[in-house]
Amino acid sequence: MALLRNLILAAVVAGTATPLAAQAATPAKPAKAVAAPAPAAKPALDPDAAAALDRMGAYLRTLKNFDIHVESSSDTILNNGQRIQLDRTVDYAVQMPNRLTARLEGPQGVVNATYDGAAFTVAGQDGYYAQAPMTGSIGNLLSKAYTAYGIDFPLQDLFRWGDASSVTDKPTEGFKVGSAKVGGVMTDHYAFRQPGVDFQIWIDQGDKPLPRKMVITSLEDAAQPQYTALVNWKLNPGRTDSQFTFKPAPGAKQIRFRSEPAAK
Amino acid sequence: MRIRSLHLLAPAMALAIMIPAEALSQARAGAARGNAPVARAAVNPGPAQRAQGPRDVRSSAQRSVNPQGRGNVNGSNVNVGSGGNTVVVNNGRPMDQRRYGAPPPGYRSGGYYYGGGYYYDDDDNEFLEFFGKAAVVTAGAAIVGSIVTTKPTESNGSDCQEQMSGGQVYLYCNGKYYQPVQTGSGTGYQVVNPPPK
Repeated sequence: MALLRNLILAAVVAGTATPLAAQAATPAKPAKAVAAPAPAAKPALDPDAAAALDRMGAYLRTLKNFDIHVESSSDTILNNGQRIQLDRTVDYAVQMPNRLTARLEGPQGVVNATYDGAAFTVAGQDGYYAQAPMTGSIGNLLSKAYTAYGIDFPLQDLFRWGDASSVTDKPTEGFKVGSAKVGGVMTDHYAFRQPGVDFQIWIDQGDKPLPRKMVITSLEDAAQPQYTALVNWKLNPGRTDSQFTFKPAPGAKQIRFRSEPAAK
Repeated sequence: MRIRSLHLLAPAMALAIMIPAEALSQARAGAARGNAPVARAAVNPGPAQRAQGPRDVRSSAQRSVNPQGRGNVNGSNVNVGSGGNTVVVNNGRPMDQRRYGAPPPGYRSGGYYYGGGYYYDDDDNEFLEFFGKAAVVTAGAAIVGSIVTTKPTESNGSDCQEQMSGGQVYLYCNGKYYQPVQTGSGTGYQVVNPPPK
């Protein structure tokens, strides 16, 4: 042990001495050093973790027809730094490429969103609904619904990871935390970092690598509010023809989206 | 509205949620800092300047890792439309208000008053958007274009008069016309010009 330590010390000294000698005089032969090779630095994004995310994305891209049930708890930070948590559920029914319904239930009640490839409709339970023409893929719906109408669908990653045309940021750091049982199912637990956001994902083990749980940590606020979601998947459920077409409740009246101009 | 399925969440939450110790101590420290009292509405409105209340919302967790169509990362808390003096109102309680930018002159908080002002609702805790951008209110004496998130009523509490005109819904009460509009957080009510005769 002492010999090894001395060898390493010698190598360090030789290593540090050489550049000084080179500066001081005409280039001399560098001293031969016997040293243990330095271990290669671990990449910030572990390749196995990145591969797990890719494998999950590849699997999601094969899914054409599925239901998702999401139960979420989401942090809000008040001005005094107090953290409040609100629970909500989202039920998605998705048929790629361009059919989607979403039922969101939270403290404010229930909102239903519908997209059938031609129109996008949002209906509350108060007898009003808003509708606007909409076409394109579900990825297009997610973007347009936000930029045009301020509608923010939760957990868009579940669609973006499965959309080959969607451009998602690659995490800058990531590693496998371990294995964990979520809701009685064995999963692999990974933690990733991207600019401004950390996220953790629990992916089902086996041949159907579906995300079962996600925790998204927003880094913009020092209190780091978190969004936690448990995700249940139902693949290839039965569908009815008109399931994705909006049907107004009896007596419901159409109104405009907030961002649409009022009538003159 | 009952919040269902909490019992399903509970065991999973026990697994998942670890509130970092720093956040807790930060919360306590913050409570000591942010103790400016929120001005309550006066019966006779005067030009009150409202301090930013300790229970205003500061930020919310984003709900997607990669939301699209965003300029900023904190996607679920985006300031909508006219920045600056825009005030987000979800109801009359200080806890339910969200503020972006300086409070505009004449801005009042709390309570329910009318007669030249705009309406707050005395509902309880629905203070957050849960499906997108929060409804935005431009504070001021119910100027055309401002939006409130609770259904306006007559001063005696009865419903506004609903009219149809040109295929559009209008609500009329207290001398003002409103149109229900769909926002990211449910139905809002926007002050509009009277419908064409």
